[in-house]
Amino acid sequence: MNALPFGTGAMIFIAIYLLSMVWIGWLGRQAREENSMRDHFIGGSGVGFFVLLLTLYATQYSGNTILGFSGKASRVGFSWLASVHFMTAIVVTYLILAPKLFTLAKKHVFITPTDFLAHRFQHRGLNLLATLVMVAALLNFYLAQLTAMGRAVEGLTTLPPETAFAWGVAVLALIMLAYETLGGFRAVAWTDVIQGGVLAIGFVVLLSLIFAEYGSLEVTTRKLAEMAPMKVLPPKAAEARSWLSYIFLLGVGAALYPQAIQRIYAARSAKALRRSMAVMAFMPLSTALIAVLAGVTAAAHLGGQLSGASTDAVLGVMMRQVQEHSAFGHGLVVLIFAAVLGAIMSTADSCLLSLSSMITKDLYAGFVRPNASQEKLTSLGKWISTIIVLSLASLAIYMNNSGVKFTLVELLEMKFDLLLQIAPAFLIGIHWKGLKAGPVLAGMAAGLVFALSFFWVDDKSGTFMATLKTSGFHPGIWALGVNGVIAVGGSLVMTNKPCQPR
Amino acid sequence: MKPTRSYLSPWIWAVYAVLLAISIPWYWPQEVGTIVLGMPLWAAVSVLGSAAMSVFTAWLFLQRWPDEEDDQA
Repeated sequence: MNALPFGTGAMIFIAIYLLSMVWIGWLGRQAREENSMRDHFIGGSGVGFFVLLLTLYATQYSGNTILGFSGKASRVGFSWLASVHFMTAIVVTYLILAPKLFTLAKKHVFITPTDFLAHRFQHRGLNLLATLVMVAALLNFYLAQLTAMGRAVEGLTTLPPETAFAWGVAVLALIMLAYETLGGFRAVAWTDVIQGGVLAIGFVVLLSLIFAEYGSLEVTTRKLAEMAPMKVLPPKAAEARSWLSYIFLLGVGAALYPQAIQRIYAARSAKALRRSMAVMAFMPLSTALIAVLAGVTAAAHLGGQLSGASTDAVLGVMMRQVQEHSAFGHGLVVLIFAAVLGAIMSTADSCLLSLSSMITKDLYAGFVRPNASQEKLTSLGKWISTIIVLSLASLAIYMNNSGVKFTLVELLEMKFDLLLQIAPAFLIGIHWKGLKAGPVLAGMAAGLVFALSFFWVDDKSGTFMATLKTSGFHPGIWALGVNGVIAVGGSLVMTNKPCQPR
Repeated sequence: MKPTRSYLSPWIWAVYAVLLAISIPWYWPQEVGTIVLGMPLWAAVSVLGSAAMSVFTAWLFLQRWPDEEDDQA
């Protein structure tokens, strides 16, 4: 949100909003049932319908949904309606996973996604590889949220952009760390209620402000059809394939985010979970769709004011125009800014808690100190959160100041391509008893190597890999094909293999 | 493989496939065409297809969720 000059009143409102989260963290600590990992990472006996719905919503819709989706829609036009479909596909994937996983999680007291894999496959190599994939994907996601925090703050003060970015990242990350260390999952879920609530209201306000400022959607569409007809035309064949690829890649990949799986564990009852999921099915229409319409409106009315990567700031520019026109609009713009902050922080805090739970339980307790006490592990989890916040916040600030982008960070941008490779273990493994650990591990490893190898393929090299890369389907989809064949085929071969006489 | 569970019956996935085939705009001519609900017709059909998918998914969660899952996995 660039160039939104907020006054003192607006700054006080934002400060109270942020401090209220630390207060909620303290309330979360007061509500602690016991000093255990289950209590800290999952919230003990779990949360009911209302909190579950808002924590699912706030966690799933990040700052990228508002800033990135509107920016992309301003670049490509109505074609970015694909985002509405892949956000719906995430909920459809839960349909495959949630009912059985919830029952198993309650029965066997799961805390991390790897707990399910350990229960189902009892294979340490598989546990390790799957955990490393999830940790890698989340580290990238968390870094992206920290960067988004800095960007959101950049245009609010008169400080130089780099200084504002650094302060934004540092202050918001510390607030997040404070409430999470205090109250664990409860603090994260309860702050999500505020953040998710503000986010939901913010999107409705955003739509009304846009229509009031720029006229009806039909006016926008007609204007865009004259100015840039490509943004109104239906996608061509390759783009249509890309829609399908996005729907599978993100629909399945994002449903397998560890923080999403842990919210299934954290449901207090099956009734609360299925009601929350039923409402979540409609959220793409009230969130992603509005972001797309905002982007399309920007494309029609802001013309050449923004181009390339700076189009991610379209919302900031639109809000500044709204702000300049009325005092009422000014107040609502502050609310939308609060929604953006809430969207970023609610996703980031869930990532952080999930990362800390996997490193503590799956890696440290799983491979280093299996006999460590619950108190020690919970305390370690908080230290791990602190280390992650300090190191990744420093990295985000360093990367912003220097303009350096590490190859490792670029590689991890393929996070969905990587996360997709754990899909057979979860989605097939939960329904088919015949799936064996060895083939699943081999398939996962092969899928990861295959997906990552696309990173070094030159699009124009004319090779087989280049053809696959430019086909419209993401590398992760091709890799999942290889992965699935090895996992399922290998399991079938092992099942049919006759017993050798002793 | 084991028989498909009631909430994962083949007909459910057939409905999703049909809705997806309608929603992904692969079959439209390259023209702006009529404007419906403020959007080009192809975009409006895609949004309505997505809305239908949401309704169907919500219905499945509310009506087809198994009462008691056994520990098969």
